[in-house]
Amino acid sequence: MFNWDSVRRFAETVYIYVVRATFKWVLHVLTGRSEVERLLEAAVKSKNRATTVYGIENALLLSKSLALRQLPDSCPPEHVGSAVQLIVKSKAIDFGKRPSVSRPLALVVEQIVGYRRLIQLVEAARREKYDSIDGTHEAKLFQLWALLKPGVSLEKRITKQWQEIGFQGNDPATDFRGMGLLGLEQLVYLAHFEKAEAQMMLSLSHHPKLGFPFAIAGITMTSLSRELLNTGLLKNHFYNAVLGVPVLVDFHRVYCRIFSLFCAAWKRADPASVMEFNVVKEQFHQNLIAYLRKDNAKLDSACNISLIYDVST
Amino acid sequence: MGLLSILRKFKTQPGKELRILLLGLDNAGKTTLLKNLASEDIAHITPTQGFNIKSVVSDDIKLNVWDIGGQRKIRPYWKNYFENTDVLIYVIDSSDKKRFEETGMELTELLEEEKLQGVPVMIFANKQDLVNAAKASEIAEGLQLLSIRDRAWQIQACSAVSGEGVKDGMDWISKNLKHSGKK
Repeated sequence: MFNWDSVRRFAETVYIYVVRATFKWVLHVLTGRSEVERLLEAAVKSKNRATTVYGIENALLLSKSLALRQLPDSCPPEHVGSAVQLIVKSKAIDFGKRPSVSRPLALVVEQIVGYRRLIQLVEAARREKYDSIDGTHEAKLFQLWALLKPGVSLEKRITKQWQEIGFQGNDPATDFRGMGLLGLEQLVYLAHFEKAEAQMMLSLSHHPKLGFPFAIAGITMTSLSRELLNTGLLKNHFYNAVLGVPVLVDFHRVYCRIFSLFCAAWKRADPASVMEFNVVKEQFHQNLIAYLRKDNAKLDSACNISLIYDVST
Repeated sequence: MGLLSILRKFKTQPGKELRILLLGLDNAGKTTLLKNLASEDIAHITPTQGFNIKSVVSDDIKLNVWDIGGQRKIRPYWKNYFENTDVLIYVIDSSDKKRFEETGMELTELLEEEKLQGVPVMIFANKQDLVNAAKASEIAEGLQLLSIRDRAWQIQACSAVSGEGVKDGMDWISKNLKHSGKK
């Protein structure tokens, strides 16, 4: 049978390719610069770095050269130097005339390949299951308690005291589930490096009406952050906020921001009880996605709940 | 298996909206079971706060499965979800022997609820893939299930992770709905 749909898709692909190639050629003739060069020069003027990094990422992915097309997914961050040489060679950038281009291009490529590396780092941490036999895991769990409840000692390892910081029962080990050690790492990071914020969130979690289980809410936020990362929705943030290769701590910072924004969204929703958790979370998730799609998205301390909930303004 | 194929078993009840309630202690495997039924990925599950719901519509039937969080603090809210329940699925972690007493008490309380009177109950002895899991027959004995006389009930060994036993349990549910004579 004749498949019109695939014919249409094929025609669209040819059209886009032809238009793109023609457009690039015209610009090349007019400016005497390649697409990558033009994008890099725009980066200097533009406020939103993400637009430039995305532009170069797309230029690579749509390149005629197979080596360039495969570069974003196959080049490890340690080999960015040779990747840059490859781009320079294929795009015929003359560094003799424009030496200023080399370092900015390396930073951009580091961002592109670094995002992919970050996904792998996060997955490795997530895949490590929480294991009560492992001393380092247990030490981290006790550290979380000490950070969140300074001056209060745990009576024993299996105790209902864990519920005070929002685990479900007497043994937190079963609550990490699909998020593994990543869930614990991020709670510890929040409690350690954002002490004041963490205490405010913990105190909200004890509110008679607005209360919710703090620790498992945190694990849910780990899951949400990971999903945003894996689906590429955190690219705008990372391309705007982190020059060069992002590391795990940069992802923990995003997690802290998301968890803190969720608490603000929860207060704003004024739910009747914790049973509304997933409904509020889903609304928050959708609003966050809409915000992260904007090319100036940046989950730093300046990003507040009204930015997320009043996207149109 | 998927919820759609389960729906086909219920085809003898056109025009009906079926409500299935999933309860059990925290970490029993309710959400994993729900995801298994919906043919979704089970690798990234987190503890349920509040509830999850999955619905499927096919032809003239709508199947709603409600998965309510199991931690002690939110068990008082379970009763808000009893109304119009067609089948209760109670999930037990067969490897968590320390909490058999607690799960038995919760189940007994559920069976005494007026709004759940006569509602068929399917008890999944979950996590049979773990080496230290108790057999379904041991759990039935420990929880004195044989004393349940006011409704249709069944205990089914299963693993929500591998899917083993889940289909048998759903088969039982579809058959017992037919015989329950509810409109």
